[in-house]
Amino acid sequence: MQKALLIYISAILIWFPQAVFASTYIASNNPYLNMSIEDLMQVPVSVASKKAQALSDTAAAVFVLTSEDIRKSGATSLPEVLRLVPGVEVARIDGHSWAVSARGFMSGFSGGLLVMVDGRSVFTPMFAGVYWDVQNVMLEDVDKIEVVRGSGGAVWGANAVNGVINIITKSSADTQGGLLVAGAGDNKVEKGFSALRYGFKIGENVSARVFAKGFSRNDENVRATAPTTDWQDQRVGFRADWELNGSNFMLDSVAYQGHESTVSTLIIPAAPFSELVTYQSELSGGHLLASWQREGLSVQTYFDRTTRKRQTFTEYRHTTDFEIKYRTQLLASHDFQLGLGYRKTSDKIINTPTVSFAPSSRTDPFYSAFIQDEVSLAASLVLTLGLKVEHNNYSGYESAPSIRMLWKATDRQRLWASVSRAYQPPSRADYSMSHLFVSEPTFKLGIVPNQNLKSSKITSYELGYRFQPKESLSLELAAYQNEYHDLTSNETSFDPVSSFLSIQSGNFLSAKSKGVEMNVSWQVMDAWRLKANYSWAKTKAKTTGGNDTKSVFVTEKNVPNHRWALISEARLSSNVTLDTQYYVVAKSTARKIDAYERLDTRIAWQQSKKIEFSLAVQNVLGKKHAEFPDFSGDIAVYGRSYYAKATWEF
Amino acid sequence: MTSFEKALVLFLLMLGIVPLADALENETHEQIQAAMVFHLFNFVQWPEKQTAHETHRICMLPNLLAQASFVGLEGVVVKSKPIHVQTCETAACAQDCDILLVSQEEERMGKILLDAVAQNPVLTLSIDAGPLAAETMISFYNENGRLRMSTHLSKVLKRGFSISARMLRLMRIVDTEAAIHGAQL
Repeated sequence: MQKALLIYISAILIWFPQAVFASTYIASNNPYLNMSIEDLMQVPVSVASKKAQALSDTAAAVFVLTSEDIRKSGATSLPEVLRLVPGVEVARIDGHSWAVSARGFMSGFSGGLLVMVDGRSVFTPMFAGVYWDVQNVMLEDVDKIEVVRGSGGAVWGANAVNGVINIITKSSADTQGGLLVAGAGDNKVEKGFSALRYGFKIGENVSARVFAKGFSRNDENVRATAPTTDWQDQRVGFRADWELNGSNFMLDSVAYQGHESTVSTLIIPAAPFSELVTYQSELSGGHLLASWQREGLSVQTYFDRTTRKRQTFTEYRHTTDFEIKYRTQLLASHDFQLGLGYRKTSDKIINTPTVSFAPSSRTDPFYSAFIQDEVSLAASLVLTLGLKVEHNNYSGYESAPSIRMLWKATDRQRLWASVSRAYQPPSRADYSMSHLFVSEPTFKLGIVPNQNLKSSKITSYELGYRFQPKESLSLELAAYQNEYHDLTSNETSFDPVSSFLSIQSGNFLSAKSKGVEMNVSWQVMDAWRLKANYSWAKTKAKTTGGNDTKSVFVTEKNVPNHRWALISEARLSSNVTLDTQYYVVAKSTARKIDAYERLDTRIAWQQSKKIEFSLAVQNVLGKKHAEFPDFSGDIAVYGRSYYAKATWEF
Repeated sequence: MTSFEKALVLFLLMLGIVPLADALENETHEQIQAAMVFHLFNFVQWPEKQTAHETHRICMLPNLLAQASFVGLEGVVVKSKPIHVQTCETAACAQDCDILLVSQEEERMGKILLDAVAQNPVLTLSIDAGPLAAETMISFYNENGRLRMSTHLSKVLKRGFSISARMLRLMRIVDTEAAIHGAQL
């Protein structure tokens, strides 16, 4: 009771003086009293709408990053851009790897997050996650990134356990003409990069663009005696859009190749029993995507090819996907959607003595169907019922139902609530991979597969509130409680005959997590916008069998409890802008990562209508910090780095 | 304090931005409006009866008192008399004012007060171009990003006020010539 009173009084003491301060400051400082009446009538007063972010009518925790947000961030990769999203945790592992998560359960493969680019899933079934090192879309061509935190299984299907990230690129009609981008950095992270894109018209209704981009990056992390690693990527692509008689047709294709090196700790049998080694990986792939949309009917199909040649194993993967959706108005108050989907993913693994897959090649079809009804119960009350049913070779039939309610309390307030279920099937690696860490006559240590693994499931309860007291200010609050079942645990067993200590994935872990996310966006004045967000999360886990003694601790203490961000976007003059992001992340006990703060900034000079120069500095404060360990437990530490960039539109 | 309690305090703090934002967003607009109201005392001549007050009285409904710039005129001296700013919610109070400010936010109450002062030498002013602007002598409006004033000159003249030529040149006169001529007779 006393604490509650203390909180209440503190809030009043914080809140009230601000209003009073604003009133008295403005009242006692009116510089216009000394101006003549003629001059007063010449002073410009802003009447333009200063929208912070439109009040969303989605019954979910949604955040949209615009192309302008991406440009101002100074980020050069998708994971770095995602740091701007409240409730999304992004941590750098090394020069080309990130751990990205929403609402907990971070890993280097972003499990539990469904990530799509223009509707094409970039999820890899190999490790049930995302290879962020090959998601190098041309950021200048990204129209928006929609992030939904929380379970999204009913619409998006498998793997949308903790969130959905949908990256949407601009239509080629909106990227006409040429764009040349070139830049160089201090060699700590960025070495050099360039991109060229050209958009053009083919006839009256057809537009297209072609692009080529490439970069070379370092990994400046400071590890004792470790060599600097590098990462290169080159890609070309095109997109074409037709609009004809109410139909929209899109064709999109990209081909890429890349190379990256990774420093990791290798366990060796003799003293000192571990050594730092540099692994080289060759990456290549591409996709071809076609979509057609007319009124309520949309059809999409794509083919995706990926090759990853590592020193541990080589993966060749082909994915074919087909999806059809139909949306219609049934009766006056029912917005009805249904869809069917089919995906086939085939892989071929080249095994090595260290890592092997059995079988070494596998084809898995996924069948899905979904139905959703958005019912307007009243003018201000919308109920959405959804169900997705899927079949996969790992866990058979799965279902993901959801119920969502949105109440438009006032013109400027929204309240929503949801209960939903999602699931994540086992990964190819958990199901089929053997990884030998130590192989000596007297002792062996390694991972063995488990073909009896079940999918992990989540039941999610969410509550959200949005308030836009004025055009220039928006507040958002979301709270959740998630219940996880059959999470992956690490079960060990020892065979005395072969002296083999094996680690095998099991489903003997369950957890409950809860959290709160807050987000404020304020257009202070025409030339200055401020954003702030805060997220708090707590997880409790327990085993439901097995002999895993560590996963409970790792699950509970992996994700930092708190994360703050403050973002400032300021226009210093008519052609100079200064954008700054400040992050504070609490410690992660399980990862042995201390709390850290990070300040990134970008200053840009629009030299003319077509030319812009910018300078971006990451970690301005220069405090070296680590964010996430790699798979061998090594921790990379990062300091200040910068790059300069020129952009020319022609 | 637990993490949740810290988060709650933070959320309440974030809510506290609302009044600050509300004040800062309209800063320039309000300050210019207040400055123009201040200048009215220089360029408008009140009927002799009304000049007996010891202060220049600006009256408004409570909602406008939240507009800090008007409050900031309190005590400012013009033509040897200080300005006094007060709220008015009764006819008797409004009839004793020099300037009565109304806005569309309080349309109903504003109309009641305007009717109450219809025969009194009170300069009525609408701070926005809402429904009450047609009932007042002077109103504010925005033109191409600049603040302007318009006047029902016939109403001004009928009540015994006069506006200097310098100010009239800067105002938009919404009456017809006939109406103005009739008021002057």
